[in-house]
Amino acid sequence: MRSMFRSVFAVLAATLALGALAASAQAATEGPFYKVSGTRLASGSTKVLTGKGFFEFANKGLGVLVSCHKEAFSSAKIAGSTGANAGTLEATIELSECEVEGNGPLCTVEGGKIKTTALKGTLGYATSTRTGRLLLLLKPATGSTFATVSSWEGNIANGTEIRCRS
Amino acid sequence: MSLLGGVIAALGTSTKPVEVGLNEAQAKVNSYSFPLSPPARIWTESAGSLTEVHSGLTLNGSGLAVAGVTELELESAPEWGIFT
Repeated sequence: MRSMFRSVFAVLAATLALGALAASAQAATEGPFYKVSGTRLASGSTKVLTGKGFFEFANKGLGVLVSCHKEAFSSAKIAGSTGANAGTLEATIELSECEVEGNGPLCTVEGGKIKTTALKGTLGYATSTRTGRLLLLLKPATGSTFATVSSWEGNIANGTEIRCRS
Repeated sequence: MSLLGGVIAALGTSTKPVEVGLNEAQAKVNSYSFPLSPPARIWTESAGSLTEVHSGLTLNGSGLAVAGVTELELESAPEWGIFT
């Protein structure tokens, strides 16, 4: 009886292992693309998008961390695609409740807000063989400026301007 | 002071990543996040051809590490998702 259980277990384990191998090796044929209510969003079609969350960026060398506890999208939409073309999105991201750590106690982002330029997002793959995680590239729609930080280098304390380290 | 460049986010979260053939599903809310070791390159597809794109955010020439999670929702659709 025990050997029978061992055999059944071995077959099950082998089947699961093969399944996992097949899943990990699965490659996409086209896209990535958006599907809305069960249908692929076609090229030329858009849908208004909202987004919320939090965003942090850090300069590890300087030990400076900027944490924005709120994030909101404006003028945002996803755009469909056909065939072997990736879905895209457009958005301007407004970050608020931003705090600076590690750059002096009086160092702040002006108004606690950072607004990105108009961004373009493109869906894509993590590998050249269309396998693995699906990714999103977010970059300026034009030029190279992702966002301008209004002023994190100017605080007034006792009438003296305090400059942040960076 | 300007942040230059772009960011590459991973679709889904660390506990529920969206991969080719895994967690490709429709939902009211979808998300993207920045893993601890975020990818520095992505392959985007246009007309069947893949293009490798390197990207990263810089400030005064120094690379920045990014973190965060964003939840995305469509205003007029109950369910949507990203598929391959």
